[in-house]
Amino acid sequence: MSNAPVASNELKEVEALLDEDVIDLRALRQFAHGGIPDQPGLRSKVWKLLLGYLPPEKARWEESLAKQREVYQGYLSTYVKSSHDLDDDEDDSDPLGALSSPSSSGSNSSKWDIFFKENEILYQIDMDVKRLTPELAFYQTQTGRPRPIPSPLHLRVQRQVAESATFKADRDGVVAARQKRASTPPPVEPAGDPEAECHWEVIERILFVYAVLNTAIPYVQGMNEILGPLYYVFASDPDPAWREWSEADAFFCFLAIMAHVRDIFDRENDKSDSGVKGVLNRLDGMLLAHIPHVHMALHDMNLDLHFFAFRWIALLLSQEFRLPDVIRLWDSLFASRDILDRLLCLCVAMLQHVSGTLEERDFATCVKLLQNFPRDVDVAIIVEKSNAIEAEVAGNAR
Amino acid sequence: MATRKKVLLKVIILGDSGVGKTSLMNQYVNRKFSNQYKATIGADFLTKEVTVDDRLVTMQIWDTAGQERFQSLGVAFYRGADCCVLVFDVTVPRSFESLEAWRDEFLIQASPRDPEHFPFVVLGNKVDLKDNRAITENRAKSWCDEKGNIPYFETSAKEATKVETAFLTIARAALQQEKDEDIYHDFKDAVNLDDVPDKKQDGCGC
Repeated sequence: MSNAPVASNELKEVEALLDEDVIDLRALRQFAHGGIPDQPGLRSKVWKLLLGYLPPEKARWEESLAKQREVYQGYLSTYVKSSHDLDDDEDDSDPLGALSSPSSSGSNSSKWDIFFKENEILYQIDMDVKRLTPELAFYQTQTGRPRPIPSPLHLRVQRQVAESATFKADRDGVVAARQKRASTPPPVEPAGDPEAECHWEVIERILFVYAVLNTAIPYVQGMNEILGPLYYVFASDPDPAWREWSEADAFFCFLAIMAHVRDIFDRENDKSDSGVKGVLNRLDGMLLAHIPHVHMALHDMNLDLHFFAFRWIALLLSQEFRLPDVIRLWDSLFASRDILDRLLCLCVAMLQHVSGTLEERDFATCVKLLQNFPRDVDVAIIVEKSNAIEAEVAGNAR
Repeated sequence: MATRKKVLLKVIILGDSGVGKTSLMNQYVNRKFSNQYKATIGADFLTKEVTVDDRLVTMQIWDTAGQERFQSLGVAFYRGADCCVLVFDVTVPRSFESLEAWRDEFLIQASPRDPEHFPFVVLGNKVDLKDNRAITENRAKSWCDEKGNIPYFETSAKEATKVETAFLTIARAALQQEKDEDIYHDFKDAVNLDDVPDKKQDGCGC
């Protein structure tokens, strides 16, 4: 993503596509793969289309959005509860009783069992959302809207309240670090409105709802790094009508993304074809087919793909590049019918890009390079290289 | 004395999420502390050259992800480790209670030749948060004593308390382990001249 003014013919092209009553998704995919222009609000809409959250028929948008947003509101009122809510549900319930005798029968104790189990997950989510992309002030700023639920979710994990206070007190350190970079604007200090919430709280809530609904793979570290940029794009929409619903919209788009990569997060799938091992094996096979010299160099050094590619793949490259570059790469990823296929091609392209260093076969240098991929790389070059690989893959499959 | 080859020591840092593994490693290697570290996904890798008892060694330190889910992916990182550092947060009891599971999981996955004598070091981190302390020094020490006199240090990555001392002990323990392994391998090589090493074990797991 560059700051150069958007070429007007590109903008005209995508606007013409979006102007149709029934949007040509095939054409939109092709367009988005080349990068969506940084026109305010444009990417937020195109991503929703690419991820299948908005139907291609515009006449159906209103109804479809209303329906899904209502579903999400339902999730919030069903699952996002405070201990106070549980108390109110049934007057005779006793959280301390359930704590001291977990085997005691009755629906009250099982209700509290679930509550405390959920808190285990919430504890981890809470820890991670507070340290999400610290170099970006956005998540620590207020949404400008009141909480949709009366009590902040993070109050359920009491210890975290203390940590949250520490975190805020320590923000001086964060600010000081940030000021070294002249280009980064200083963080916006939250106003004193206790009713308003910060963006990280919204992200916490989305992850919590996801976790409660997906008991098999509730929350795994790294999911926050996928949701973060997605929510950021939606919550930065200049149109308040979209912005207001960024939480529900981000939730469903997150589900759509997770459908492609969830097995990577699942311990039970570690050894299956769609799990970590299977996906890394696929990458290994692609390296052997497309850049055998790099494959051999990694093998000679005993440099296991686990050492770097697990994070690359599981997090859709979100930790490897600066946010604007991540967003640009995601235009291409979401434009693909199969996110994982294109992601693997991008990974091969990244390795090809640094093949010179890899072939020198210095283990420590190479691991550090792959864990800290050069940030000054022009991601358009990586996309271009990955296109060539994608074409080869398609050619081989034929 | 025999000619000295370049010594590489592989150190693995394990412990629950949020106990300060990344902070400890960065305090030791870069002498920096920050509140800005993201959650570690997979494992981060840093190296440091140090002199241990007049010997120049390179430490390769692997800072791993803390969530339990990642334990099963550990084998790629644990293999060939010379020392394992177990970290807990002195203000979070459960992170102390997890030490046993981390230690067991490491021994299962790394499967060192002599698990009984494999060197561990335990670090109780965040001692600067005095008001929130939940695990006493005595309690931590007695656990370490029970587990075969594991060296124990109370650290603060934030204030750089005991970090240098702890890592010197870690380096010494790793160096000793490396020497023991060398002797074992020299012996093994001399005996099993025809033994073809199983290359698959060292590959990229595919």
